[in-house]
Amino acid sequence: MTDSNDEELAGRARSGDDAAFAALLGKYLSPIGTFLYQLVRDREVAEDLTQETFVKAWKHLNRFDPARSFRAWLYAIARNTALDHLRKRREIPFASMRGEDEDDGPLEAVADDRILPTEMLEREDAARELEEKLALIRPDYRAILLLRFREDFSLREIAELSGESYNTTKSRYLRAAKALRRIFIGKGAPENGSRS
Amino acid sequence: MDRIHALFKAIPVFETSSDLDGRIFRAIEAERRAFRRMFDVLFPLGFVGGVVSLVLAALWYGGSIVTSDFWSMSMVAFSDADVVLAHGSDFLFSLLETFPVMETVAFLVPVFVLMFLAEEYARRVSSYRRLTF
Repeated sequence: MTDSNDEELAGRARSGDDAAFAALLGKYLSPIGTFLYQLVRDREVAEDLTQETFVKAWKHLNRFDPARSFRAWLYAIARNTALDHLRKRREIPFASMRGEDEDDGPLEAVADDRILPTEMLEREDAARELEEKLALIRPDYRAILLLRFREDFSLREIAELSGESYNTTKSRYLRAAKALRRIFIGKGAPENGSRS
Repeated sequence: MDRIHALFKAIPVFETSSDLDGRIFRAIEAERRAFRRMFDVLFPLGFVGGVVSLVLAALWYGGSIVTSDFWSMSMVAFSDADVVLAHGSDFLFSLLETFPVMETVAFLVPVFVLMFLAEEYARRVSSYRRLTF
């Protein structure tokens, strides 16, 4: 989902046009805030990280390649800012800092519509329940699911914005989907998730 | 759009504080001031300090470096190469003994500081033009 207008605004912001940066801020403040809140589950921290994300984006606009998606670039900054914060608070296992995951059994492809139990998909308060259950899985897993299903990034785009190989991202996505499914069907112990 | 995408999108939006965008712009302004201060004060001070140190090092230690025995010892390697080769390790030891270490270090420190500042300046100058509009 690329909005060519974003890249044009980013190009103008890079040349010192504050109004262009304000337009990007207005457009992405809420989505980035929501994404970060879902990762850290703390209102105050989410706001601080949102601020940090936009200040970093402003500072490093000269590194942004206008031929690429500004949205993906901004989400990459937000994701890295949140995961760095959580690593400092040791809410993400050290193994995942090295790009490794704990061995939790063989990975099988899970169709998107089979991640959540069918009956759950029909419930009225399903979104609220999903939010609660999401908080129980590891933040890096949460990030990949949110980027995939809420922000509509493809796995290839997620790999690119995470700075990981496609295969690593795919395997992380499968583990994340498996972890969420396990929690929904009641087999999953919380996987280092954080709760507000 | 399938159901799981719809469900993720139905997760409530996080309502940020009404002044968050203002806070972000204030933080950006603070960054801009810090950046401007670095360019307008720290870099010029660093360059002037580096050049003055280099000149002082040249005045204080330049003579000792030039008149050091190290150079006359080095010339022996060319004039009496066969003797030097015959007593290689002794010659090398004497050569190192006469090397003006302290004077050279005092001379090189401001050179490295100036090189570091020049590199940092070159790296940041394009950002400076953009960020300090």
